[in-house]
Amino acid sequence: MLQSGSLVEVFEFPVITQQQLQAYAEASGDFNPIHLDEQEAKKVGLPGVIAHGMLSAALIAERAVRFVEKEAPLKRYKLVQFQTRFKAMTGLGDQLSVRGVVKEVTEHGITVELQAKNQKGQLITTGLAQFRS
Amino acid sequence: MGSLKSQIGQQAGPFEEEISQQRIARFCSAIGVQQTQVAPPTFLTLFRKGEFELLQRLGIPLSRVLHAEQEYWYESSVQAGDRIKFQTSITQVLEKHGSTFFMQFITMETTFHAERDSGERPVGRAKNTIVIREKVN
Repeated sequence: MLQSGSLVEVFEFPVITQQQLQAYAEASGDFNPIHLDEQEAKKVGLPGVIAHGMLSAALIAERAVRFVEKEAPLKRYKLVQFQTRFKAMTGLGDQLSVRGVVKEVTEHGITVELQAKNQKGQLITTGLAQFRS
Repeated sequence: MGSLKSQIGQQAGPFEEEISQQRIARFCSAIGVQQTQVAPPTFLTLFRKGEFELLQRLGIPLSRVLHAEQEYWYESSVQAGDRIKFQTSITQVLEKHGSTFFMQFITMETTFHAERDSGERPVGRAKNTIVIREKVN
């Protein structure tokens, strides 16, 4: 049964590639050149192409939804709020893993806090997902 | 770039976009998740036309924009066949001065509605905070 402190197991996503950023740009409509063009990224002082923050947010939200669906299938929880903060950047060749913990369970709701870290253990993106039944 | 505080209240839209199963499928594939009937939660990021228009109006090149924070409030999910109506406004500008930099945090809020045969329903809203960082001497 889900309770405060229940863990969302670590899930590793594939290594970030230029091909994925190109696909994400096309699917999302975010063609900011810092995600696609090495020269443009360097011109504004970045070390190179960086991944879309919203790509990591998408992975976090997905994990939260799948976790709640799997752990509490009968409750028919719906995601009502999702908040995400971008703490550090990721680049090509980085690999994100997402983990989380249940913060609160009430009669009609559940709140899950998640983190995406890179392969070095550095915090990249945080997420807070609130569900209601 | 000077202070953007005077831009609070600027609006863009309303805009309308048709949602096909193909657009949902393409997004699912790009984030590496199984395709579903209902769009994933962050699919609302497709509707940033108003944000891009406001940035352009303010003369901010996209390459200067970093994403700091994003929030969504959901009332109903987006499905293929929906026509999404949305509009965006600048709701907050916070400034941070350092000895070598000047940062501005710009918050833009977007509201979404979906229209289909059965009528119109609220989808939710989004709050996006971006940061523009400039070096100063």
